[in-house]
Amino acid sequence: MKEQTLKRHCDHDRSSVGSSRSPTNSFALRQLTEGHIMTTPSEPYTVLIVEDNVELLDILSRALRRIGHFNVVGASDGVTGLEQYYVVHPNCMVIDVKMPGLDGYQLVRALRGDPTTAATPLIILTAMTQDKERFAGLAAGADLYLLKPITPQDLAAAIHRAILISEQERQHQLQTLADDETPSY
Amino acid sequence: MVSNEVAPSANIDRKLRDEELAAVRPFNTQRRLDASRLISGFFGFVLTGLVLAFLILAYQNAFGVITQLNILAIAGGLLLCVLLYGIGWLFAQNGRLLPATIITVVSSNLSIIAATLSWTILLAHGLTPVTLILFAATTVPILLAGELSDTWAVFSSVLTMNVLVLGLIVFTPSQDPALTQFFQHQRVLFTLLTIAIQWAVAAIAVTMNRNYLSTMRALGQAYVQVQRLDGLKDQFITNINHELRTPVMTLQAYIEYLRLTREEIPEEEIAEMLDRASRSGMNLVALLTSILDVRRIDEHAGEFELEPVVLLEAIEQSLSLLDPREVGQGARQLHLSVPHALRVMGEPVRVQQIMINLISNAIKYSDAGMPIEISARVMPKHEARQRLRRGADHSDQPLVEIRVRDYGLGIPPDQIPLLFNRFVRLPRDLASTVIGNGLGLYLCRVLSRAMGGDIRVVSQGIPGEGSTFYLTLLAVTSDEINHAGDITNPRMKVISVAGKPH
Repeated sequence: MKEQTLKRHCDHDRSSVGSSRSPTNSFALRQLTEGHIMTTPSEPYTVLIVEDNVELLDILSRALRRIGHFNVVGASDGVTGLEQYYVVHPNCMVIDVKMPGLDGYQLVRALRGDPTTAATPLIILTAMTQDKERFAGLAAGADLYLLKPITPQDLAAAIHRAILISEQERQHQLQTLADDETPSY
Repeated sequence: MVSNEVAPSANIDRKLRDEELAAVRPFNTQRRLDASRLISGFFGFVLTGLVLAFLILAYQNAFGVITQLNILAIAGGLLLCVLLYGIGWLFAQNGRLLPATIITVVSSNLSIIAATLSWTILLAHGLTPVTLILFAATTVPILLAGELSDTWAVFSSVLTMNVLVLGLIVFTPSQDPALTQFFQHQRVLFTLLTIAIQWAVAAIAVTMNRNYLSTMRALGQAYVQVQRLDGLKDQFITNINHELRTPVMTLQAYIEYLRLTREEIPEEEIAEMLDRASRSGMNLVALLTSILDVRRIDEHAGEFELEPVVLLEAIEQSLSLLDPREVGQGARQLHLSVPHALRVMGEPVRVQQIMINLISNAIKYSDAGMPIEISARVMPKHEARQRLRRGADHSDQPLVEIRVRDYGLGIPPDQIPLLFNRFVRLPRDLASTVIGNGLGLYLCRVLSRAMGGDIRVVSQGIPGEGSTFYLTLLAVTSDEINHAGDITNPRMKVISVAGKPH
């Protein structure tokens, strides 16, 4: 029962995040980042980046560490990414689509399919621009579908937002379970 | 190899033909439907008018003594044809091609028969000048069959009309004195002439029908071709867009990282990051250059001006032009066994470009320290004939085969067919740090083919056994064959790629 509700809320969240606005260069995102999250990193979030371009993986990790104050772990293919997930238990994952072996969509589906990992915020970061690919990414269960190129700042903001939303979701979840009534916003 | 190449291309030919037909068919179907609708509608309308005129004239006794039964028979026969036209029109209206055309053609035949028989037999006029006009009208169903249907319909129409004319001339007496006299002398000639005219019209109808179809087919071919090119271009643009996004993001990430953190990070890291940023900028430029090259070569592949190139010199040149950023640094053993005097026909720069690609691939995809072998020979004629691509127009010129062998990872055989396509990189290379944009081997193939040669690879995909690329180019003249055997002077060479100072 609990899982079911959780899943439903995740789905709801995903669809609203995915379709409502363009994730890059959004004013709201910057507000969010520069306003209250970036300046108050009480305990750094762990972010797992799965990206097959090693050069990009390296510079993104550096940049997210410095700019977003994240604890960054990198993996250069899908299978390693999945293995790393169970080692570091990240707060958020950034996933490339075109990768050898397990591709990004498969990875997202695998994580969403497992109840213990299903609630992790997942961001797809890809060069594939077509609408049908975007749809496939969101349908697979990603929270955000970001297009390359995106600056490290924007990516950091998107990660924060994905984490924030999923935390709110969890809070909301707890409250719902606690008083089994219609939650008040 | 040869059979491997022939089979898919034959397949493509067949596919192309199907596609062409598929492209043409809707137009042809629509045309025939429109024509059926128009003609059956119009003919039905005209025939209705004729029936009305006949009834009025019969009412006024214009035909002299005539029984009511005959009037009914004539009007009934013609109205039956009107009904058939109506049914044909309905089928055409509903997009039912086959019944629409068949019924229209059949009812046009029937209405001519009905009109002619009505005039000559039921109205008891026999052969009159009006009958002759009706004979002329027998060409209408023949032409119509050509327009709406196929050769068989034309043949059956013309035969029906032949029988009609023959029957009437043989069995119907003439009541017109002038005509009777005419037929006494000229009956055979008249019959033959009429039938000959009908066949001539049939021939024209069939020819027009065939011409029309072949024009349509040619248009279909062009249409399919254009569509395919358009699709390829779209794909190319999508691919380029995709290929550019990751390096651009990398470059942007370096810049943003430095911009936001230059105060916090140590001096050495800044220097390293700047270095890497500039390198990814250069990679981006190299990618753009390759893309431009591909486009240029695609456009001008037919315009290469071939000249004799001393192969060994071209290879030495290529070795000096290897890019250390791409192939890394360090010394390699190179076994070079290329006859000194061996020349190939080609554009010097392009031959070099191919060799650079092949050698740098050999270095990139094999472990440091593994040797590389380059050898060249003039191919025996029978072998050369086998190797030549189907459709190559240099069928009798001798070929030179250049072999580049490495002892690296090899290429899985199932991935070999993809290897020479645009933007193709093997899955394992995508995951590795080896630099590449998936255009090198594509360029090699386009270039070698543009110079009358070709390129192929043999590999079992077993790491350590590596792969062997065979590049064939045109030899200069037949006297090279004599040279090829004797001056093969294998020598070992150590190439070291000079590193860029950091």
